[in-house]
Amino acid sequence: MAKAYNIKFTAHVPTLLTGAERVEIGRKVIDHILYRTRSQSKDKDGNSFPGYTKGYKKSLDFRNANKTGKVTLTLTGDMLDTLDILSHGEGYIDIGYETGSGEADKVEGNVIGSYGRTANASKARDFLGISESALKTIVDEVVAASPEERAIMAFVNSPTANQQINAILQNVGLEPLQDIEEGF
Amino acid sequence: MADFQSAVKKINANLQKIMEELQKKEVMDAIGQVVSESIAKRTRQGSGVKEYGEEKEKLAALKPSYVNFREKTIKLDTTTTPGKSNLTLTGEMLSDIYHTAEEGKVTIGFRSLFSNNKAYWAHFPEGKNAGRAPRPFFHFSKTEIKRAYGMLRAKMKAVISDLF
Repeated sequence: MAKAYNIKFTAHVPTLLTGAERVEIGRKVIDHILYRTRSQSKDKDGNSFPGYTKGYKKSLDFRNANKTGKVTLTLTGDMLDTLDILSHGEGYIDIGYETGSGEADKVEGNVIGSYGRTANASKARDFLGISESALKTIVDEVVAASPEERAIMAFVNSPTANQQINAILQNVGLEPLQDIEEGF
Repeated sequence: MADFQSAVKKINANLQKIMEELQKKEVMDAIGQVVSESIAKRTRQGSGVKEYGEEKEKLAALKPSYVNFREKTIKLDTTTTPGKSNLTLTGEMLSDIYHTAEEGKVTIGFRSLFSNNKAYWAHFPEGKNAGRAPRPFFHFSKTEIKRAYGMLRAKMKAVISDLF
């Protein structure tokens, strides 16, 4: 069931950053989480994820996703790909899942180790967060960006870029479904 | 090194070129590949999407009589089980999802008209299929759109970086 509240974490950042810088930092934090989770199988504190259970490894869903034993928290990929910047303002960036997100239960199950049962820290795979040192590296990188990089950052996070990308997406379509029953 | 304002001017002066690069066939092809695979994968896992841009939802459960039929009568594809509602019997319909790309355009469809028609029945059970629960799946979910958006955004960033 969808949660009536956000599942999120707050990245605390310097107060003097511009909105475009915060969005850039937020996106880089998300990229960091995806890489750390999918490629390194590590949680927000750098600990390796507990392995998948034997039962899960034998399941149809596991097989259909062509998964290996490597813990990547990726079945369809939707849970991690839904992670987003929820809001940002002076000194903070909230990253997580919107209220009502269909992924919320799975996220919570991983974060507290419940998976539909009672919370169990030893089974938790808390991917939702970033270490202070990793966040600092990202902030420093964005703050030190060259004028060209700042211009790129400002443009790709602008309403113009959003409009242009959405215009292209209008041309990603589905062929119509046809009722040809009578033809058989 | 250019200053910020001249860098912005350069980007604005190249907007047309940026848009053309983003709509090249290979970019559209990559999007089509990811989105078509996402639809098939998500459906195989048992989730559908009611309308464009909505969250995925579990497909309606199978009727016990149909589960029984699947158990006893049919050789099912390895990607399903008798009780699993994932629009899979032989596996043909979902395997038939593919895409065609051209400059500025991608279309996701089915390799055969028969598979397209099976998808129609899943969406709109009528005639001899009346009484079955609708199981709409052939739409882009919110996450699938976000995934395509992210690809275009990353490409846009790369194209603009190449200007400098």
